[in-house]
Amino acid sequence: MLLFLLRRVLIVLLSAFCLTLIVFLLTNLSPNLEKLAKSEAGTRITDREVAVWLEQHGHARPLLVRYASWLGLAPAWAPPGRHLPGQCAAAAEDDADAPRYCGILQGNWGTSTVFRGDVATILGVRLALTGNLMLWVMLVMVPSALLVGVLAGMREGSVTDRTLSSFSIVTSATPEYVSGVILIAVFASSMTGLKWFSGTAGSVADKGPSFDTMVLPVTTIALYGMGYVARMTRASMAEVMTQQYIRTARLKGVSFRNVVLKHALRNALIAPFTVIMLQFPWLLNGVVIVETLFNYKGFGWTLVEAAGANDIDLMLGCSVVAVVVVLVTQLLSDLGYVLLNPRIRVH
Amino acid sequence: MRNWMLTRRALHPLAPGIARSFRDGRVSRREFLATMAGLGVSTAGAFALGGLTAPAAAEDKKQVGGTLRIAQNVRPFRDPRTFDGTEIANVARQCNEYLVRWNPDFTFEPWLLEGWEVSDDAMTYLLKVRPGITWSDGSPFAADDVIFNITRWCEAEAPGNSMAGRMTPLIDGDTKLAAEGAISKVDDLTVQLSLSKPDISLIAGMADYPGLIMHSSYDGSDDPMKALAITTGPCELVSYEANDRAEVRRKEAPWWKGTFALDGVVWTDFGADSTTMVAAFDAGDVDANYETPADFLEIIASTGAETAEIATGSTIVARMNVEQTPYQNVAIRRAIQLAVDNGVILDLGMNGAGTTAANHHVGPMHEEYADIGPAERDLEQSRALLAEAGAEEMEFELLSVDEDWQRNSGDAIAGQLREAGINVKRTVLPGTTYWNDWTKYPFSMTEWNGRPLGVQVLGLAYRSGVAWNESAYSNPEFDGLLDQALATADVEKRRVLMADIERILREDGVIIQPYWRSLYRSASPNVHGFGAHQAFEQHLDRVWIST
Repeated sequence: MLLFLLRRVLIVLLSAFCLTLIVFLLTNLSPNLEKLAKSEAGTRITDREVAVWLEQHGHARPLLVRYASWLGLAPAWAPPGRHLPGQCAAAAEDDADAPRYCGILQGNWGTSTVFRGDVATILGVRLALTGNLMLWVMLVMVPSALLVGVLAGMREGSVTDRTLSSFSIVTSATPEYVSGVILIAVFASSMTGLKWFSGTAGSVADKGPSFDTMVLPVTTIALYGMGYVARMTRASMAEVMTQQYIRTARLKGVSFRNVVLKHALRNALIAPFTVIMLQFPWLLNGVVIVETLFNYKGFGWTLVEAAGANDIDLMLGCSVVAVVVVLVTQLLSDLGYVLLNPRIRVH
Repeated sequence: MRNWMLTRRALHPLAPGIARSFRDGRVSRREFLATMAGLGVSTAGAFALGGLTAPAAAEDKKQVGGTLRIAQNVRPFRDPRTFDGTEIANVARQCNEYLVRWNPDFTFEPWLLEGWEVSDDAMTYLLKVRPGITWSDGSPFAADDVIFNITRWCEAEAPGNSMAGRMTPLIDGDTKLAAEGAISKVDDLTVQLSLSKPDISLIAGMADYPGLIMHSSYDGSDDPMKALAITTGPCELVSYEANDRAEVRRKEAPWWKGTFALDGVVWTDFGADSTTMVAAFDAGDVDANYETPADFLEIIASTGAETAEIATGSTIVARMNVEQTPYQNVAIRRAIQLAVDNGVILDLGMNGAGTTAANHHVGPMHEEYADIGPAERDLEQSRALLAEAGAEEMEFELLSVDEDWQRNSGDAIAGQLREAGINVKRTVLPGTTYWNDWTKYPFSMTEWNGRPLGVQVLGLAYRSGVAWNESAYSNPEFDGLLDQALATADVEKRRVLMADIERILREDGVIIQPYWRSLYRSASPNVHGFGAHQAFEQHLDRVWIST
């Protein structure tokens, strides 16, 4: 078991290393560096000014040196004529105290150019907001998806099955940018005059979540994911219901209700469980559209802003977070498997 | 004898002539007021000379209190002289102030200056500092502060410093810094500027949004909390989170100008998509916005917000870069220009919210505008020119940014060209990638804000080698005439020069300039005095909220 965990942690580290290297290479392509210089120093600056800016901010050093210095294996960038390394400036008040190395290994995530702040702080705040959104999405999506899937799958081909299946197909076939816009137009605009909920969630970051602001973003994401999970549950449930042991239980005179709840459900949940765990990483990236649409300033929104301005440190920070979330949820899903299915053992 | 001027000098000799032209209807109100300010005539003096009635100020009912919430992009802060959008300035201008303010009625109001005096040859300016203003650290605002700022503006080598383009006659061509003796202190409240050549647009340039007056301790930091630590204005900065929100609140200490009615102001960034901004109005999350695009006028009215309109010198141009293939050839440029009917672009691109322009970037809102006739669509001549250049089969690519009206106008131009039998490829890029190379695109759409004087726009955008000239246009004859026009304070004489300038620019086929935009912005009915501004400036000291 310990060995298994250790192996997983090593995989996390290796994946994080590979992904950040790729992101680093991409964000450091010369047109992207030019974009960075222009968004920092002014859109109308000349090519020569771009070169000067890149030189002054340490982007002219060899690529691998820059990557190593982000990691904390090479000395941090120091602006010419200054003893204080620029990257470490935030970490130390005094020139003399400033450490020479301050990359991610030293716990320094770097500085965001878009938000003008420490990457770790920004990611903390934004992840908390997205975590809040995801929590509500999961609370709405999982129970309703399982309910719909089980109801549909227990009597394959019935009217209930056909109705619920059509519903889940429609919701999973409607992308968020369509359903979100429709929901806003119907429930939050002066167009229909309903205005039951708020069509923007921008105030959540300042005032905290409220029912009014969260309903539409949560519904938009939950609807899409629900259809998908419900379809998986239905298939799994339908398959279990055809098993020999279910027929035996029925023939022994166990009530249909008890067959479903006591005999079928646990086995039927194994497949949806993986899908549900896979929803976490999907949510983290899937919220990009919804967060932008509703101006909900969470992780997805941050990613869009960072990518838009080629904010190197922030993009790298986002990649590390994404890798960790994907692999940790997969780890949890593997462990959860064991609980649901005693036939599977961890090696 | 009445005192017409901002300072105690006799009436500028050019003023009565211009006033006569105005009364005869040859110069518009807006042009007249801009010139008067340029010559150092006070607003009251200009109203008197022009026989106008000064508008009465409705100050009586003003309520104090409340926080105004504005939907506006909050771009990362930077050194004010390098501001590249009005949005940053709208936050900063509540804390720090300008020497001169450009009002929505197109008058120039002395602000941190009490007045200015322009010599008869427009070569010497005397700037009078307004006495009695103090910085928030207690030190008085004086001539040295003005000198500190103008000297910074003149650092032409500083990356992105656009103020240098407005201060050209003060800059030494070799050192790229303020010329020796160009800026001098007469006494604690007076600064003298000695220009290397006459320029009547200097005062108007100081009122432009990058001309924010900073404290002499300012070191160019792009941390707004540091930059706006010591200020003269009514508010102090509470927070500034780029791309997210910014907040200011009224200072405890009294403001030299009087009452600032609002307790504070919050700007929230809703991204580039205006639908989110409309949703925010619907949700009651904002009270006002930065701009209402013409396509959104109806839908925003349905939220109950009230929209103010202002006709402006703001515009869009489809400019061809004359250094890039195939646009080095004037025949090709002209052929493209002649294939477009500007009226159609106004209808399709802007829903008709504006007036047709004539492909030379000077319009009736500019005092020196010479009417050289509209730009006519001439398909036959266009075809002939294209045949002459051997470019009938060539495919042209027109780029634009993915923003409602800019994209629509680009599409409309492409449609007109296709109708004329020219092959066009349309490329629409998102804002995040468009701005990377936008100055190098061979043929693309550029938005321009209005400027008070026609010569100002041309000097910023089409003079050889200036920073904002992304058409790479370079014509010595054009430059020469423009220099002459900049030195000519007499509007009538300048207009004669302008006729030639406009004709040269149009016939060189550098731009398709389809229309002049009307600008709109909206506010909830309980917000008073917000109005619209020709350059999107937010003068929030006029604004108050009723309960």
